[in-house]
Amino acid sequence: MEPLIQMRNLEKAFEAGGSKFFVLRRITLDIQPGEFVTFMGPSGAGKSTLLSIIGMLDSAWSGEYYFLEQPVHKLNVKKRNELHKANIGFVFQSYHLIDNLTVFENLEIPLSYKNVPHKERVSLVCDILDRFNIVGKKDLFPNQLSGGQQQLVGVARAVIQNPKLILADEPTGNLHSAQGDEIMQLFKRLNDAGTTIIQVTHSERNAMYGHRIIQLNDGWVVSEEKAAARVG
Amino acid sequence: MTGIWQDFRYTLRALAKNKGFASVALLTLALGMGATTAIFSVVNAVLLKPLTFAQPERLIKLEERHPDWASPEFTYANFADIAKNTRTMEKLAAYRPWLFTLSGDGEPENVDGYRVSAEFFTVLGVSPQLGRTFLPEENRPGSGDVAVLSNGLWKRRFGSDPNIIGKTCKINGNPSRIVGVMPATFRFPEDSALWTPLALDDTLLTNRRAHLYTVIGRVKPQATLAQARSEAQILAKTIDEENKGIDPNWTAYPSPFQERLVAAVRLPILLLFCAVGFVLLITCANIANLLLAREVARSKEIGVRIALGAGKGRILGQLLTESIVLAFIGSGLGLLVANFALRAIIQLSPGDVPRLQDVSIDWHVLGFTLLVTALAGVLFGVAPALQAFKVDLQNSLRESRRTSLGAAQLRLRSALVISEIALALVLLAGTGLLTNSFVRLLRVPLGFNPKNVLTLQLFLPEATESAADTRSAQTLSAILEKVRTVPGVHFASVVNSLPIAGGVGTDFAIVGRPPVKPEDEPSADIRVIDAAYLRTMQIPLLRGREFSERDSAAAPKAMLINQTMADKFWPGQDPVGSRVTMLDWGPPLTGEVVGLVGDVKPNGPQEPVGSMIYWPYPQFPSLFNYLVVRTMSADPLSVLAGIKGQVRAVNPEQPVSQIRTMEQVLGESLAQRRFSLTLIAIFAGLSVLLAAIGVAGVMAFLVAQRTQEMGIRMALGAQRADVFGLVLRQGMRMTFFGLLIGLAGAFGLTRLLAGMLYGVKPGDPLTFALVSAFLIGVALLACWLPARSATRVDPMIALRYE
Ligand SMILES: Nc1ncnc2c1ncn2[C@@H]1O[C@H](COP(=O)(O)OP(=O)(O)O)[C@@H](O)[C@H]1O
Ligand SMILES: [Mg+2]
Repeated sequence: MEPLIQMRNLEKAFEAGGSKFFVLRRITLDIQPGEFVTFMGPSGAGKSTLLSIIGMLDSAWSGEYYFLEQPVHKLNVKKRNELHKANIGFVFQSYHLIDNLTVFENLEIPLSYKNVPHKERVSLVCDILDRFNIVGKKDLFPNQLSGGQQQLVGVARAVIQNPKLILADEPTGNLHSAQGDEIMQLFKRLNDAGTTIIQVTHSERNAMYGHRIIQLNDGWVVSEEKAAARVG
Repeated sequence: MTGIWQDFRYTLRALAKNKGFASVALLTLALGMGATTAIFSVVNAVLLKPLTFAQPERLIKLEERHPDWASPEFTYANFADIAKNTRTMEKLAAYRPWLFTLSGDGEPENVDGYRVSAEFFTVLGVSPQLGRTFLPEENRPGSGDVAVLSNGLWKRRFGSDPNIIGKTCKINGNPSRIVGVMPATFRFPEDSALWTPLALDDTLLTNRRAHLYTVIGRVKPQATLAQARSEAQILAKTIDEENKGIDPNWTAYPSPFQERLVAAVRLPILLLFCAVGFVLLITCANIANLLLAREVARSKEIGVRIALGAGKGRILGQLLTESIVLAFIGSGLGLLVANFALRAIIQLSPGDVPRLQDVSIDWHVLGFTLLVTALAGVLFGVAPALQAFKVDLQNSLRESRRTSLGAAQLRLRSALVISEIALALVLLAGTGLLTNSFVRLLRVPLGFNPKNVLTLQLFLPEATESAADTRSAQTLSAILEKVRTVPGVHFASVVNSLPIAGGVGTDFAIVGRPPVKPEDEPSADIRVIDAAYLRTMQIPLLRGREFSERDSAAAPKAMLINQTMADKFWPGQDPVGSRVTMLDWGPPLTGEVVGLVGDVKPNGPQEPVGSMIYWPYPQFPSLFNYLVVRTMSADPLSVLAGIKGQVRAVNPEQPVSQIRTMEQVLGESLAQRRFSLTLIAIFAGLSVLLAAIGVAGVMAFLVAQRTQEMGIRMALGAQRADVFGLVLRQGMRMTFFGLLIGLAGAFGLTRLLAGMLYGVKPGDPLTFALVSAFLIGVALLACWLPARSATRVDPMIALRYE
């Protein structure tokens, strides 16, 4: 099987005061479909930056990046956006639900950007509410939910369009451990069902849910290892 | 006190530091306050300032009121009876406008003046600067011609001659003695260059049909206006009973003089005042918006101040000081704007706005501006101040306050912008309706062709009122004959009053029809013309014949009537051959209808056409005449020199005045409308601009507030177009809210405009739709930049931990 993601010598730098300042250095990695990969490393190592490049939110970098065998580095903005929309879901540390929308409406957002007809949208949202056991919360606003519940909705929102890849940047960072475990279990189940997952975490315990751990430091991939023993 | 001083200094420093804010705020304020001050100066000068006459509150204008027609002028006999018998009013005076020809020394010229009864100057309570005013005995004919000069005429024509009193000058062909010169401050009636006694002969003294005189007077000190009103009613009733059937059910009605003087311009001026009030409100909303925007940046500072022990009063004091200081600096600049605007207003204004020449920024205006400034300062300072009160100490020192404060702010600021849009829409709707009316008026068929026509006034100086006779007819014939020889002249004619410029009328009766009750007597406008007039003005002859040489003074009397009159009194019949008697002008005069002509607008494009009777000038000579000349070239003025030469050749003392093309006459008839329309349009434009700035400001704020949301949405798959649309939709929602409120307001308020509209009703759906569409377009433009900046949001910020 071909890798889902292939990166060759990918580099990212910011200009600061006239001099270049590298955030990612010569990143070369392959991620297979169905893998559950964990990025770890100290703060400022470049994990979030790498995630946003994988998620095609960032296009200011050099090197080669193939997603589903498509050369992302050669695609124009429109093509990239299509690739992103069709295949990638995001989960954020601080959930990033939109405050003035209900749970239902928050879940609808990704669909609204994909021209899904209204009827189908409603049924997809209902499905996902069902799957995540949050039907009762559908009319609540984010600030009426606990952190764990909000992140549940966050994951549901990432999953609703049935993406091939979920990118999760410290998804449990704002949660206490019981809630965190629940979310990680959820990722595990999604991964078991075939979704590729890339997470960023500081927690060894969370890393155990994945197959592989990639350590970043100062923009360099410093080590790659199999997860010692998978939980779940 | 030191607190306030500190706040004041702090404010100045803050303004100096924040130049962008300061310049936008001050510019906006200067425009808003400047416009308000300028228009209030007009309100003050025209409507409010007491007249400069002695005890102006007791001055009244006495008007005749008739059940079926509107003109308020008195007949002399009615005036004399009331003046003699009244116990509540003292010193009544009658006067009428007159055209005077000055000749003898220097160029002959026509000036506007008034013929006044002896009490005229006493009623107004003014004394001459030189000499005296009129003696009672000078009000009789044959008592020797005398005149009182206005200060302007004395300066201009007589070089301020200090020894002018007692000198004679030729007025209307008669040597007249100058007995007085009025001070420069006395300009009444507004356009008057000189005054002569009425000196009526017996026929007019006892005439109860010729409504020619304006009557002014005073209520006695011990009487009230209400008493004068009931007394005038009783006196009129007595006259009515003693003179059965002349003017059935007429009555006399005294009103405060000042009120009547400005009655015609009161509505337009008050509307302008309303409009400028709207502009000011929008200005305030905008400044409040700017202050609110600044406050987000300052919320932390305020929090710190409170943490350091500043009481709420102190904070409120500081914020209000800031806004009021801002208001006063803005107003100061506004005074400069107002000064400029006033000069422009006087320049632009049609000449017939009473008292406008006296307009100035006086103490009353300054007081008003001061008051409004303070109010405005509080008004736009209060929203930010209230917002500041929401400062919750604990939160204020944390960053997260920004978002919660932001949401509350956004609501408040949206509300402000919604009201701006609503106000702007009301102004736009008014402007739209007035423009619509104006355009319709320009398209009204006038019944004649105003292109390539030169008009000039020919007042025959040697004629007198009772002797508008064969002599004047001969002079006119001679002039016409000569003028027709001028190269470039196609047709030349005379008429007593120009189309669309008003004129005189009479009651009439149709011979052979059963007599009608006097109150049902029909009336018609009277035009006195020569045989070529119809061809000169290109008025169609529909039936019968035109006038010709045959219709001389000695020939049987002939008349033409217009279509409206024929339709009304001879429906489905041929009026030619019928005989009509004119009742009001001296002894009844009967003529035979020899032709039927097309309708011509008599009083301006907006006024309906009534019945009209044309006489040939030899049979019914008029003192006041216009020469109308259709030229071959498109520039009617090109023949002027030739015409003047020919007129002089007939009579070297014959002045020509009021030289205008017919298109200018048309322009003047619309001048007041054009003037109010221009001003209201300027205000509407200003308000739309301000509202657009408001919309753009709030949208920029909204985008800043929601940067993160935009980022999240983009991470979830939103394209730039989606984000752009999101912002645009927000802006449009606000706009539609404003539009809705504005439309409701406009439906109510444009009713006040009804009197100024033509061919379109207040609340006209098409006009409202158009102005709404325009405002939506402007709002879209205003949302454009903020929406574009929203599409530039970097979705990566959504990934970053705040
Ligand atoms: N817009 C930016 N401009 C300059 N430097 C940035 C920007 N965004 C991130 N960085 C820098 O890039 C580095 C990597 O950041 P990030 O990917 O967020 O690290 P991590 O997620 O591993 O903590 C940090 O040093 C950060 O300061
Ligand atoms: Mg990070």
